Amino acid sequence: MLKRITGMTLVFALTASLVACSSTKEGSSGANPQKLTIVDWDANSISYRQAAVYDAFEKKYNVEIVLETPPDYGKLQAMVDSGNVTWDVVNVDSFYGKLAGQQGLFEPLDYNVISKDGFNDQTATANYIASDSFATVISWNSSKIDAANAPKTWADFWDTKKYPGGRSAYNFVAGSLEMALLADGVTKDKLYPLDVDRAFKKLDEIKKEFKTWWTSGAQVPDLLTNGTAALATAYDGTLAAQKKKGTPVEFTYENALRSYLGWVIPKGTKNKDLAMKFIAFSTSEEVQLEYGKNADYAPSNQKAIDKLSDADKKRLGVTPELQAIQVANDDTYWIENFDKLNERFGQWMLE
Amino acid sequence: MWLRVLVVLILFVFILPIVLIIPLSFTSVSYFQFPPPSFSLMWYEKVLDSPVWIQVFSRSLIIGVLTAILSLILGTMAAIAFTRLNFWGKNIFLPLMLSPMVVPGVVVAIGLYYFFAPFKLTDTYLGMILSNSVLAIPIVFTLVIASLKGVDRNLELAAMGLGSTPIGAFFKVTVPLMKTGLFSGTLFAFSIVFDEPIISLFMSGANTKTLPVKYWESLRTSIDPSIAVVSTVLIVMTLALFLVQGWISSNAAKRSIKQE
Repeated sequence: MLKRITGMTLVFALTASLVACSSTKEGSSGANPQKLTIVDWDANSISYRQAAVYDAFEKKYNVEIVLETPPDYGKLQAMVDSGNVTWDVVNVDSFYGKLAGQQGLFEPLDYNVISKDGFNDQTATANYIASDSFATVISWNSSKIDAANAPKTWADFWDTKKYPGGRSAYNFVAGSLEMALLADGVTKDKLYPLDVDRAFKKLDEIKKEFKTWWTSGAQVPDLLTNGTAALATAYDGTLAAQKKKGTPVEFTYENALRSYLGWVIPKGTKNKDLAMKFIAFSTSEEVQLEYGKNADYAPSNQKAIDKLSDADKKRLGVTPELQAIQVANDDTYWIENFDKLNERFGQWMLE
Repeated sequence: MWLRVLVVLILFVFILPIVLIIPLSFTSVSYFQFPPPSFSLMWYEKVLDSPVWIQVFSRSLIIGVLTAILSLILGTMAAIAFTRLNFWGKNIFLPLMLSPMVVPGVVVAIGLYYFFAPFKLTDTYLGMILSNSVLAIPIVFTLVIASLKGVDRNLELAAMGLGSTPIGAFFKVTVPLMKTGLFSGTLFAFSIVFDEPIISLFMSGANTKTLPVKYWESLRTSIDPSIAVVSTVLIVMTLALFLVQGWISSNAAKRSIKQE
């Protein structure tokens, strides 16, 4: 009995050490090609960038890209604080990119390597540059509401007579205040700084229609198909992906709220130069154009957007007419006011 | 009679959400509708065809087995020391041993990350095994202590009196008597690896992504019935493991009754 246990333990110990050995061999990089660790959001985002960005970059520079998902901000902070940075380039939302950039979490971007052409002060800052944009759109169940009666404006979202049934939106203060003000008739150029009291008053009007506020974009198709919400705010990319699978959801780009995602380089990475080259590559006009053709999210480089076919512009909601009405999230305003407005939103939720 | 009905009702309400996932995994549409409009195996095909799901599942199996073994050895040793010996610091030993169960998962995860990062153990199998063991050892510890309390010390002393070495007595007398506790501990330690997303999220990377991380990621990005398929597999696996454990312990009970 004792001999058997010792024997078994030895066998397992050997196996364990073998496995550990093999995994560390996996980790050690060969002499060539160089390795770059990029963090993207999920399998979907990766599939959009796979051909146009990742494969093309690997080929052009003879680099091996190691992809990780998801970009957990807590882990990113722990990494930079502990000095053991294993992520070279990370895709983050614009709000975090600018806020954490101010806090010194990222390497400053080298704009001698990266071209700012096609970007503005909002989409390219000292530490962050936008990679693509997504829209928060009004969505509905296409088997219950047909195209002729579809909602178009935020006033429609508030119209409980024309569109009875529940509502749902992102459980987040940024975006909720904007949509309330737009529903109340505030025009795009007079939106910021936000008239907060007016926004909360407008939100009170349909508060009871919200059976639930979603916390993850992936919940929306479910809420629409099981009838919890007749109209809901959602991310265009998530809905487009579900539509392809046959789920009966539909949405409109009219009056959508635009937000950006972008690249940052964690402070202390060992592959800074290669990371800069990657960012320069993926934000360049040609690559952004190629990306826009296959992705469900719009490119961030305006020059690339202009060059998209009319069909793609319509599909991604970036035709000149749509771009004129859509409202871009004002990160500067939110960086200043997030804390107190978030608190007020939380209290409003509890009322 | 009414008490029994009430108990069955309560158990039913507990189990219902878990059981409902199983028919949902056989749905033919890409969203959750109950009851499903029609049944199909398409989502099972999709998951079994997907190299990513198979990869994370097999990784979790390997890491689970190794974590279970390591936790079993260390947890049992700690349990025996605690019940049989009196050593300096024994009073602090118990809360320290139990702390990973009590401290919030995120705090443990961050602490583990900071600790292992300088040793370059993140995104390695060894790192994953060690960090999951931190969670599993307290469980094994608790279960084995409970089991040990049922073992009469005198049986060991009798064995040694008859000429056995202390270690021999341990393996030939104590271990068979605590078999159920050891087996439960192993099972819990194994299932921790499938259960715990936060620690895995921090400690894993591209090479060591395990099932809970992929599962959590899928929930955040695209909720489709492939998640129900993975859930069903996990439910069936857990049920099977516990049935095996029940069979083993009832066999052990039968054998001890026979011997009397």
